[in-house]
Amino acid sequence: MNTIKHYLEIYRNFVATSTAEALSFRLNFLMITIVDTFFLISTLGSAYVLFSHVETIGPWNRDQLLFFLCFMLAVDDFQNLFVTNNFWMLSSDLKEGNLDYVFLKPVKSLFPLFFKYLRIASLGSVVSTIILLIYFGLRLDFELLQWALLPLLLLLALTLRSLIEMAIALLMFWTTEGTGINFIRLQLQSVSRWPDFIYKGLAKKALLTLVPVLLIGSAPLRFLFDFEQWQMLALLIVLCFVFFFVVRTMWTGAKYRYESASS
Amino acid sequence: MIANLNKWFQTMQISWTTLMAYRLNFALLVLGPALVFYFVKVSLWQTLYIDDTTVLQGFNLKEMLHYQSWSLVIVLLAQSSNGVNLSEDIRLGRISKYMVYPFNFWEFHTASFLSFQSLQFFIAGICLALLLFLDVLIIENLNYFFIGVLYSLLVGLFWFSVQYFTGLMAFWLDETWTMRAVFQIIVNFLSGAVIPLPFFPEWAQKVLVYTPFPSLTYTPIRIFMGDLSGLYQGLLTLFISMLFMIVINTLVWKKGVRLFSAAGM
Amino acid sequence: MIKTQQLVKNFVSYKKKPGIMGSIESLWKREAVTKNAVERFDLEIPSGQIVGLLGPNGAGKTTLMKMFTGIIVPSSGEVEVLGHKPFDRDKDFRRKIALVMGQKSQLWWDIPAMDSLHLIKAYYEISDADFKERVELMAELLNVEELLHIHVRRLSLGERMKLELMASLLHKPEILFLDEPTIGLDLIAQDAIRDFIKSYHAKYKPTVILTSHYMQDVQALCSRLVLIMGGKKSFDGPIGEFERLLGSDKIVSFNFSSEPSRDFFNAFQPKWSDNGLQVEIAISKEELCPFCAKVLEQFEVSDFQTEKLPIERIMKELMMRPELLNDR
Repeated sequence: MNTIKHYLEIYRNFVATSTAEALSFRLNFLMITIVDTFFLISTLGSAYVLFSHVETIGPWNRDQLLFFLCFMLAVDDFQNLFVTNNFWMLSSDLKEGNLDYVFLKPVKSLFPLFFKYLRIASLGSVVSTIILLIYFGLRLDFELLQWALLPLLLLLALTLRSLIEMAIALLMFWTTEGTGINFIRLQLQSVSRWPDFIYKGLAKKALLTLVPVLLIGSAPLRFLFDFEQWQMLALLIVLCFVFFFVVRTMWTGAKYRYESASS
Repeated sequence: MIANLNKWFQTMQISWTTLMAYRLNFALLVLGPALVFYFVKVSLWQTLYIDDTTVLQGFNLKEMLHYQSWSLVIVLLAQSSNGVNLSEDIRLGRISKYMVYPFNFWEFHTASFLSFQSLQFFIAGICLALLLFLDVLIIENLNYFFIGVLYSLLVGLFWFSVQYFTGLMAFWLDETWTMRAVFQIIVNFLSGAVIPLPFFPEWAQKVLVYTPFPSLTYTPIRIFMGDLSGLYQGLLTLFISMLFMIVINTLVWKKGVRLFSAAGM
Repeated sequence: MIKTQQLVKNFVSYKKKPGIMGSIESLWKREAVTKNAVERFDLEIPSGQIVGLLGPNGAGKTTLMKMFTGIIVPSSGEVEVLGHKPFDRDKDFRRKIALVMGQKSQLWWDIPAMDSLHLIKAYYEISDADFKERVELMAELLNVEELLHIHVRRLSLGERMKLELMASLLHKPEILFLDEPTIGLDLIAQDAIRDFIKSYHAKYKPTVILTSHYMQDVQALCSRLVLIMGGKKSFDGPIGEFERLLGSDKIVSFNFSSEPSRDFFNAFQPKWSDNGLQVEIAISKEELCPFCAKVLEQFEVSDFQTEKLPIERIMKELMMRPELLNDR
């Protein structure tokens, strides 16, 4: 109990410092909001344009696909808010040997490593995406149970996404140059922004198991649209555990790899 | 003059070496995104075409795949540069060295761009050969093909001039990736890189004709696919836009340097 | 307190030939180079001491510090700090140590230092009362009360370093590792940092391990010196012993208004300036006073001085001629 209190108190300070920092760069704050907005418009805009020429994409109609896109945007936004900045900072901190101080603090080092920096500027985007998610949910006539499950499924999706990306980010301890690793994350994100049924063959199999980014959105939503399709969701939950252990194992190795840049 | 050319050459050589030293990063930063983008687009369009007889806005599936493959070649030829090094130079205060060197900031970065571009040209060539081999792309007319390549290189220059601008924003912005991201998102959406322009609503097409975006992807794809109708408008748009960017960049640089020396960053 | 036995750390890096061809070649062929940063190092430091860790750049000082603090793992050998193996990175262990690096910062760059201090307070679970008391005390000692609420990026290096020290001492560590804390600072700021460390040590008696290239730091703070050359320990003892390492002679220099006769100084290894108006000699403590009196009497002396920082000369000489240590 005391440990939880300790970590919560630290997290409160992470939020405070990140907020203070965000507010001292107001122009950046504005720019991030603009990026998020443009991304939202272009994603939904593309879907609208496509659906003016076809009735369905795979088994899904327009509202279902738009709901899916918003769900993925929500995952992006929450992840940007809570985790993403840490991946970018890890890349530069590793190169400049700034992790020394993280290692010295009397807390589990993975905690500050992945949760220290919040991107407060994503808050606006979080709100607008949730509004859109609710709008498309209403168009799909969701029932009470579906609404109740939605936050839970979002959380699951976010968990798997973050765990996969943490595992990828930890690769930086071996490659030293981190920007490339961060680009792997971004590429996997863009793959996962479309439902699993657009992919085929070996690539699809790999993206559902080895690097299961296609599960992030497709598994929860297949289940949400049709409770009979629970199999992928079960896989997602199992893989959350698997990746939790992958991250832990990699971290043990990473600690040994870490040889802070000589000063 | 000759001495200066030698400086350019040496700069190109050193940035070539740097690129090779970080080859994994280079592959992940440049090649990876282009290929993944292509992979996602092809998968998506294959789903949209229910069978081989489907025709959407004048494209059958085969033509659509050709379209997307040419789009990949153009991305590789033209969208290689980014302003990261530029903004790093500014953010870390390294531009002082260009004020001392008898070699200008823009010269250094343009030379780096050229060396980057030469490498990209090579990679685009390999990809093109591969796509031809896989039969997802055909060269309709060799003359048009060369016009297309030259046009794409011109697009590359324009792209560089815009990235140069986003890099210079480091004088004012702590993080310049946001500028690049906005530009990339708009171009991907409105230049026809994902969805060909005829798919857009009438009114949107009419508006887009008056913007530089179609000239960046849609026009060169049409050229490669054997349709020169957009060439002159495209060239005109590119030249005017580039001239505009050069003027803007010169002004922004002057203003930025004044700020830099005043603040002693 | 700190104990190492046969401690070793190796780093592996890769060679690359220059130029484009070298780059291409390195695609498939890389030659590994192993560097022994620290070699079979034995050391024992009791609690409460201030120990200076000296050595040229790349000698292995920072590597040692990082092994002491658990940041990097030794390649082989034993290291024990406060009864812990540092690399187990026990939370209890981490609560008892602090590391200050002159070339790195733990303060957040873009916000006032006070926000960072609050974060550190949370990390170390420092009570509100203790936090307030320690911040006030140290802020006063360091004269930084006004700086706590200014954005760190707007501070001068000296000001920032004071706050870095404060941030590292908030949790009252039992061992304080100082890695070049005065690097790049102006003379006044160097003095301030030294004075602070001195009075802090007098008050709380932590063990302090200090590396620095400024011999004033070492002279002012350390009672014991450990010299590292090429990853190996080449001296360990009290500072007084180090001063006599290359003989106990004093170095004296004289300036003259007119050229004196050189023969008079020949017995003391004189080093003459080009114009013959200045000489530096090495002389034993016993002879020093009578000889000086004679010089003053016989020649027109405009100025004379005895050396203030003998360890600086000794360090310089050992760095240029490491073989001197083998002759000992």
